[in-house]
Amino acid sequence: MDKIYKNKHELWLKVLFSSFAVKNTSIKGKLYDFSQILFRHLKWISSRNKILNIEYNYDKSNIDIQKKSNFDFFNFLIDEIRKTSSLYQNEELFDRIKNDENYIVFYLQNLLKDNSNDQPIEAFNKKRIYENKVLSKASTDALTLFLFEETYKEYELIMVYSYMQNYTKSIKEYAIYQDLVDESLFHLKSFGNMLAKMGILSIPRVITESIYKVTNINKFINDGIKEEEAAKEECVKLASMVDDIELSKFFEFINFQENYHIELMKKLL
Amino acid sequence: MLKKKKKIQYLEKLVKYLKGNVMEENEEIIPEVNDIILEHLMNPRNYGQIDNCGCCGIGYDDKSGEFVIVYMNIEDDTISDIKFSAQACQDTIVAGSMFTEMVIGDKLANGAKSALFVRDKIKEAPLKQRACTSLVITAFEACMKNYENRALGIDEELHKTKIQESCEIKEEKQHG
Repeated sequence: MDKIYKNKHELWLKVLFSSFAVKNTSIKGKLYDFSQILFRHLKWISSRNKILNIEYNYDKSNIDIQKKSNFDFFNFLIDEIRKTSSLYQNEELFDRIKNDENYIVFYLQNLLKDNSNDQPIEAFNKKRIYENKVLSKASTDALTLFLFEETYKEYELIMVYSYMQNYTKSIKEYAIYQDLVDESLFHLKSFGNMLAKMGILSIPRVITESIYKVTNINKFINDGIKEEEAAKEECVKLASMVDDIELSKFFEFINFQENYHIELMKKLL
Repeated sequence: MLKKKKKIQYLEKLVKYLKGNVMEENEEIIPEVNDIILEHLMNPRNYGQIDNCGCCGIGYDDKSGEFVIVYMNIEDDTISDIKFSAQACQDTIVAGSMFTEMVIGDKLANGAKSALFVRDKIKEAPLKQRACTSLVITAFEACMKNYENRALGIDEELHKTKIQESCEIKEEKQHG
């Protein structure tokens, strides 16, 4: 199996989840942008692998991201980027990737020069308080479970749609998968940041191979539509459960987006 | 290996989680999250697979398509290693994480007793949580069956067992 792909997949998650964990909005935004660049690298590597008949999968190791401070994160990311960079071969694609990653390292090293960039990380303190809102125990439990379930689900959707996109021969399908991936990236970002605010951030579990190595596309799409409908129901339920107008509005907003996902998926049938 | 006191605490927390609480707002039953459950949500234990395992079992729900695979290595009738993977929801992952943590290092017979105990304790849990937990327990029991079959010289790569109660059927009936 392709070691570069596995490392790159893990690196993307490490940078993405660091962006959720860090509170400073400017650094958070920059890390998120970097994670998006790394995600594009991942897409290009999967496309290269398909052309070169190199098998890849979504296996990943357990990733410990429970760092105590911003500086711990920056040092961790620099080490991880260097480890991944050392695997690249002599190809134009990897020259581009290496250059991007060198810049990310440069950015992180600069942050380390200024102590005011260091802050304690609260994303793992397990306090389960969302932006000082007072929620009942049951509402907090409902929100906690929803965020864990949906964070995994969005991650799974991103990876499954990316896999399907890499193997489709239709331009129309390619574009639909891209829309679905983009939508899920936004949802993952939203839910990941909420998990961090509640102090319960964690990287989702491994995706089982049978989920993305699809043999019956119509069944896959129909099951996906059912899942989107279930996710919609969960959003509606949660919006009614959390006694907070701002959170309720947010879940209604997400719920409405799921409607359009269903329409996009129907076009794939 | 967990000590007996910790194991009982685990079981109590798991059962409490699965039975859940009724929300005043809309009478929905919500699984109860506590410190131990939170730890398993954030870091599921024993998730993955064992290459060249000693035995393997699958518990599956043919209506929902969900399944759990349990992999074990057995040494001197003791569960020396256990892992699970799943295509299922979060409650299944929590149940799998806690159950495997409970039985690792245990004698097989004790593992079987723990499985029966959990089954019995979750009888009053909502259907969804019963089905989720059943996927884990059924996969564990299928894995033990595979171990027995292999010991008898039967050529069986893994043992598959369908769970008795699918959450999907009942939900359809309830909606209908």
